[in-house]
Amino acid sequence: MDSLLKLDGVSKEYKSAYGRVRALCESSLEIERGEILGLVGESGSGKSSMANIIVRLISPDKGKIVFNGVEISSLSARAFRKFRREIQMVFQDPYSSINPKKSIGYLLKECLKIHEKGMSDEEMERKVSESLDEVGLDSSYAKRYPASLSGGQRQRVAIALALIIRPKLIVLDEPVSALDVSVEAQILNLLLDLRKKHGLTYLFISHDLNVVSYIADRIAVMYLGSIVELGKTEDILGAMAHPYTKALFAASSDISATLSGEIPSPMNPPSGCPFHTRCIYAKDRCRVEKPSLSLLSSGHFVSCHYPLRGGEKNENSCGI
Amino acid sequence: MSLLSLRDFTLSFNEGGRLLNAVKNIFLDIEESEMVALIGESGCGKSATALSLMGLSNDDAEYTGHIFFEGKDLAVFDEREWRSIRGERISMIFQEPMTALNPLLRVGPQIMEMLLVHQRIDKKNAKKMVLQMLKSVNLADEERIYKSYPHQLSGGQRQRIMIAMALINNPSLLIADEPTTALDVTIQAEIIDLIKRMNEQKGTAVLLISHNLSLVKGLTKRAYIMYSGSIVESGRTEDILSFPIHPYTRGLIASIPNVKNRGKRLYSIAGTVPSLEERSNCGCPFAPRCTIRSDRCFSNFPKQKDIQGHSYSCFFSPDEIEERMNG
Repeated sequence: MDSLLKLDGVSKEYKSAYGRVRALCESSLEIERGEILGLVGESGSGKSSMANIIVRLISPDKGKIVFNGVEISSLSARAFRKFRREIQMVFQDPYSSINPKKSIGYLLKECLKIHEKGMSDEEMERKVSESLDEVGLDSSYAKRYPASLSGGQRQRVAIALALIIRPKLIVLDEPVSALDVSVEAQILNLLLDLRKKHGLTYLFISHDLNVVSYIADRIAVMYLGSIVELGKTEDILGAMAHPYTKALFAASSDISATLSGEIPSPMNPPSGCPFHTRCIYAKDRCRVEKPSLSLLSSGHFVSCHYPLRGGEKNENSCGI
Repeated sequence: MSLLSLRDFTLSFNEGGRLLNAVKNIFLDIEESEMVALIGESGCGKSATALSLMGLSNDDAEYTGHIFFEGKDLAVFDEREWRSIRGERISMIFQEPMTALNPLLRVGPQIMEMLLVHQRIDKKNAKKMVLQMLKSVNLADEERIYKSYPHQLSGGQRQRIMIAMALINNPSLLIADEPTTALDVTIQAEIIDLIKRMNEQKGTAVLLISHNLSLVKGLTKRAYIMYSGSIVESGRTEDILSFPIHPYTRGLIASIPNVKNRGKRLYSIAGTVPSLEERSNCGCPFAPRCTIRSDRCFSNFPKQKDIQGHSYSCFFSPDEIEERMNG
């Protein structure tokens, strides 16, 4: 296994007026070179905190982050700068993630000015139209402003902004959630094409399990700041081992209520297994002892004292 | 007679002397206690339709055609007449419950206001009814919820409050405009269950507006597919999802990613939904993005054809569409 990014025991707490909010709790995760890792979970599960920690928009309280063999979590801001171009991010809402007052060309050039110091103007112009072309927009878009673009076109621009400095890893935080179905398919196709062309690695965060089942090579399921299940997409869909994963996928495939209650507050997380308050299989041990992420079968990890086994093979009926 | 029936209904906005049609010549029926889906992408006119059913369109909106509801034509109603319909006979819940609730008032009194405005009832009895309603939308601990402010509740709880508010006057029609889009999948399932239960218990008809095809499956019996202000296909939900006819519906369904098309390129409809200003006034609205269009598609709007209750608006027959799209 050739890992590009490794998170090792990463924790993060936010302080709020009402107390401490535990966003990530000793989470470990490896992203392999060239893969698409899908990260799923309900809101408040810590998906975005993890994304923000990876691109260093926030720093973790504890834990190590290793990128391409270098520990980047301990680097100074200046030393980190050269890694920033290798790890880029695309956000959910292309209406708020792109500066509305600058032309698309200006924004793309700005990336080059920062990360490719000394590049000539002609070279920059060429790069700008090249990267617009890559995301399916013609070079006339360089002169346009975000306001004149549709949601799908804006998301293409956001991808071009991430791509123009040739990163190795792109963190996609709900990249298609704000888009219409017909546009969503276009963007997913584009992301797959670009990965092939440039050998990119994606961390693909989404709450839409259909999208993740379609695009991801591996899936990581998060619950209340911890990864509860991780494995190849086929393995997870074929034999979900964590009761939460099973409930989550069942809820999405036939829209039936499979979980009672809501995700507990991260300000007051439950003792033991974080899922025990909603788990129909919970036993006494689950209320006191927190399970750790352990190997179930080749490449398939689960953090549950009593993982679901074979017999209950899940018939996957995602989609319509 | 249907509970609600839109007849050749057009909603247009006057923009700088130009009349822009947000919704164009649509026919839509909802029977008593029926659950019907209106499906379409953003900007197709589904929310504009919903707002006209509540009498909440902009002042510069112009209606033509009819909105028959419980025997009256709402299209000619004035503001005073609307007040006896809105919130009393027809209610609506919105996508984002946080913005639909007043953040400065406790939720209990907000629900109670619905009763005080529409019914002759004193506050004491009204409060009793509100508490009962909170219980029936599965908000246990109703006394505490009654006194809570919207920000103290979770997204799912807020949407339950919206449903309680919408149903407290026992309307005959509930319009649910993307009621679960802002919620997590697990919460989504609970809210859908609740809407379903309310429909069964109270017999409230529901118009479910959504872009999510898997959501309407199993929940609604009939569905309308809307594109660019027009209804392009309608019929039994099952038929539409399993045997779509119109090229737009077919494209929409084929472009949904799921585990079955893993590793394959997704079908995608080229181009984007035209904005209100970009819409052409003649021809089939889908023609500019359609892969099987012919010249006549740009000049005339195709008449609606009907095959055993499954209607579609396309010049080609289902066999021709099938052949042309796969060929």
